[in-house]
Amino acid sequence: MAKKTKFIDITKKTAGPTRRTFLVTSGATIAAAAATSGPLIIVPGKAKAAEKVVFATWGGQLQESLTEAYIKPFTKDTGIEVIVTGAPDMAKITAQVKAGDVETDIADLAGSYVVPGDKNGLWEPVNTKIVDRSNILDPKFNRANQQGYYTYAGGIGYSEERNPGDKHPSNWVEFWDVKKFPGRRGLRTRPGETLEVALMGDGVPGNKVYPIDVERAFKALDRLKPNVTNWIAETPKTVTLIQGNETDFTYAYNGRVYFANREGAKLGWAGDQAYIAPNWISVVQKARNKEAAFKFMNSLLNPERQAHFAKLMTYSPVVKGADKFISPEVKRLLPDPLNPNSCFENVEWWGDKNEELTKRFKEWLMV
Amino acid sequence: MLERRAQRLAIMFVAPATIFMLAVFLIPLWKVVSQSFTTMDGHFTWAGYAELKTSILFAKVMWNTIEISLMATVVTLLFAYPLAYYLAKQPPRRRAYLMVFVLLPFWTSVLVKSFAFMVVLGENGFINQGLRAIIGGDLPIKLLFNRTGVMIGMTHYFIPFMVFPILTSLLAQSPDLPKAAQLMGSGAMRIFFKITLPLSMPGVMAGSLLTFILSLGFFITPSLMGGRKDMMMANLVDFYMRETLNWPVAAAIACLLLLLSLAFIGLLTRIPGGKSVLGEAG
Repeated sequence: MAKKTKFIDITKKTAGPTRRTFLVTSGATIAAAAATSGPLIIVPGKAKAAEKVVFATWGGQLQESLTEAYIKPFTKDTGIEVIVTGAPDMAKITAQVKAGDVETDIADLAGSYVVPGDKNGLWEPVNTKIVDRSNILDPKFNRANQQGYYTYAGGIGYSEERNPGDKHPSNWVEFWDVKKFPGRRGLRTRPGETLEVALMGDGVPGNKVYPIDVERAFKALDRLKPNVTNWIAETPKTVTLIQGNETDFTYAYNGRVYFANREGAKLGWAGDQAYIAPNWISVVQKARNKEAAFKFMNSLLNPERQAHFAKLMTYSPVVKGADKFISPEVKRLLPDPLNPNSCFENVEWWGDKNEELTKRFKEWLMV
Repeated sequence: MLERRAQRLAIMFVAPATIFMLAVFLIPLWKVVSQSFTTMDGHFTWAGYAELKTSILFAKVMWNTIEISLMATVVTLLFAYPLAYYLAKQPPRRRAYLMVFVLLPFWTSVLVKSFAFMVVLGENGFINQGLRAIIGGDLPIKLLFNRTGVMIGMTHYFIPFMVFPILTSLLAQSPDLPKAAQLMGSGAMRIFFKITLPLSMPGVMAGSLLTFILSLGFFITPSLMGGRKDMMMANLVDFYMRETLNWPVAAAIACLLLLLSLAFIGLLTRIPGGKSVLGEAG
């Protein structure tokens, strides 16, 4: 009955949970009512057959690629319907868990959601009986409550028309060198990623960034501040500002640059020294369809599907054996998540420092 | 007897709106207030307010928010009043036609507009390209990603909110008044400042208040079109709410923002013509 993927407008409440709640809470009343009023009769088996998972993820290209690479084959294999809802919102999930009425079964998480969510009891420990982690490229991608299932990379975006050849910084020390590479810089408005990049700009090797020397990072940022013309809050602007000739060298993600180029932009991306972060996924505590959600999580580690997703998004796989399904042309586009030059996100270090450091960072921005 | 029936009728008319507002406004508002005194695990706390008392960031952002909102209101008023005045002088058919243009900003999303503005106002946008062609030189005027950008974006959004109340109060004026003044020997300037403007104050007040209150809660436009210093209160609420799950602080900010708006409404009622905000005749 429900063997196809269903998309639901973020603004609308999903139909599934509503019906289910309805059935659970008022089953008895309905049974009684059903005896007298024909159209209300609901066959109990019908509701049971619709096994499903409610998955919160970011929209756009990412959602389309997730559907192609993972959701369609998963539903085909298992008959479990995956309902994609809008962007994962930690405030909303917190409210649902507090109220004991959880609509989202499984959610993509930003790095900053991991530890605060763990502390507030939002994320369910990964059920390793269902999720097979034996294949994983590196233990860094496994957390007690989260699974990393692809990685993205933050590097230096630039225009290949305005800065062709090697007329652009290719690592963070060069990004910080405004004499050798004059031009307008763009960085993010948040301390996560920016402090890491600042340390690399100050000469710290990527794999020595943690524990972050906060004072040193701010000093490095002080030096670059006059040359940073744009501080970017909205991710799309990491590429649109370069395209609109508002910035020359901007902190940008490989996937975004790839998509801009597919639509005709001529952007370059230097990622030999990048900021690498896994995309984390967690099952939500008190989720209604936990088992199905873990089955879905397990399917995300399938090497062939990982390779398919990598081809669509240029976000790198995290399991062994995905390689053999990836063509050399695609492989060139994929940043190596274990590159020792790069800095690998450490959510543990950030822990609950995000609040303090964000305050300090935004104060620093305002002076 | 008749009076009681009128009363009953009044209740019938007012009740649906009242019940609606109770459900969707007062109850959630009460939840926000109580959340500002409740920790995440449900205990009483002052921590939300204590945190804000010492936060430099909060003080800066609060000041920023007031400053941006006041500026946006004044700039919008300067653009909207002449527009409303011109519209009021037009024959009704032409006015209706022109009003469609005033409503244009409502037809596109703030996000789309903000990106479109980059094409017009950017360093290589139409305006700077035009200036370069006319004046020459290579000094782009920064119209975007600073306070100027914020003002352009917000004014563009708020103009309809200001034009309509002012237009209504201008149209409500009897056309005989300026004629009478003219017969008594008043010049055009004097008629405007002694008659038209004072009589339109209720509209000006209503429009300004609407604009100001809306700007207090604004954040997409400042974030998309502003610079690093243009952070608004709503961004801060969003940060505490979603990023750090510190709801007492988020709720405390929301409550203080509400008090601030009420204080400004209070101030408005004290200036001439300001009483109209409360629905009294100016």
